[in-house]
Amino acid sequence: MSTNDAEFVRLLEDHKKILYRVVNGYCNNPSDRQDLAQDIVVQLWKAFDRFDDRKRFSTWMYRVALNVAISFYRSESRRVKSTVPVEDYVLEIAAEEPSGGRAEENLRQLERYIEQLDGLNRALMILYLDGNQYETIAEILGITVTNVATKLSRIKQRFRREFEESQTKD
Amino acid sequence: MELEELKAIWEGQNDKLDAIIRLNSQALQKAKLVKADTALGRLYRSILLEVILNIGGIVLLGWFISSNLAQVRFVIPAIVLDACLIAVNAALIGQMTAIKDIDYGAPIVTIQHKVELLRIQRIETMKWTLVFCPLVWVPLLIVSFQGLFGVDVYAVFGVPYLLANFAFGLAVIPIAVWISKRFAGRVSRSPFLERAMRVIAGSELGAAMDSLAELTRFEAPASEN
Repeated sequence: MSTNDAEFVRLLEDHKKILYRVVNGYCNNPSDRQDLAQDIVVQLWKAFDRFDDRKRFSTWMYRVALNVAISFYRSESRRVKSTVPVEDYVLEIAAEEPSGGRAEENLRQLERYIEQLDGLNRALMILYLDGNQYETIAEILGITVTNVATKLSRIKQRFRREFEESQTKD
Repeated sequence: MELEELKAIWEGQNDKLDAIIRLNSQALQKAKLVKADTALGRLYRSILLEVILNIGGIVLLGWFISSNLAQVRFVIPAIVLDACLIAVNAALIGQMTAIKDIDYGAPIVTIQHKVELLRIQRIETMKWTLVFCPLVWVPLLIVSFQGLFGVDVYAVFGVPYLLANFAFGLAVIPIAVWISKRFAGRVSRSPFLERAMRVIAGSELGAAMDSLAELTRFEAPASEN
């Protein structure tokens, strides 16, 4: 393995949560998740030569991962995609015991809410929940900071309203 | 419950994720990644193959035209076919250039714009290819019979038969559009046929234009939305 490849694997290992969050944010089906994870990793690896190491790896990785994920459902390639063989899964996720607590229930509700959003707003939401600054979100998405703030404010209002409605129904 | 509170729970999951996610180092080995390809890479290769096959067709038609220069009745259909192939190839080369211009490391809105424009280019090419299919088959019949078997189709079938076929081809186009608009949603068992019908009916292009409009809205200052 060359120095460049080793560096790539190290950076990917350090940022594997981005891969997990994006894949989970855009796919419900486990086999789709593995296809998407594979597609993102291959795209990252092929584009790694163009990565400017003066910039943050996480910003670049978010851009690549989200661009691939958004295109995944829109592009015609989805119709001819091949399922990745089990031994080639790049992302292995150990089974976790559901805690079943209130926090987990709220998280499931949040995930359901994210699923309702279109590809771009879903990206915005994932970036926000992952704790990115508005400036970083704007840089990744290619929109202004003011636009990010306004869109997030609307999403928050809508979420609060839907959450309250669901609580009333329960 | 506020989104900020859920954000804290979401971030709190990070430690748990570190424990349950593992990257498969075998799958990450360079050899496997070299062999693997991206969706765009696969699309690029399939378009390249189409371009190469079309170039073969263009060369053969060029040879046919030069061999039959004195016979206008063969040259004209060959020129029609050649023009179609050149037009298709120009569109395909445009798509290949568009694919090369897509760098997923660039901002999402910029890249998704390019991806949608590429999708529209693909749909337009497919639509015109499908629409012109019923019309080009008569010239194809004339040229292929003369070129491959030395058979003069004008003499064998007669001009009225060929004109009737051309007229039938013309009539088929609006019928195909009507059938596609009416039944595209009912052939889900055949994804290729369903897509072809959606393309002819214009719904595929409509969906792509909607996505583009959605992107523009997302990009515009929020007060304009």
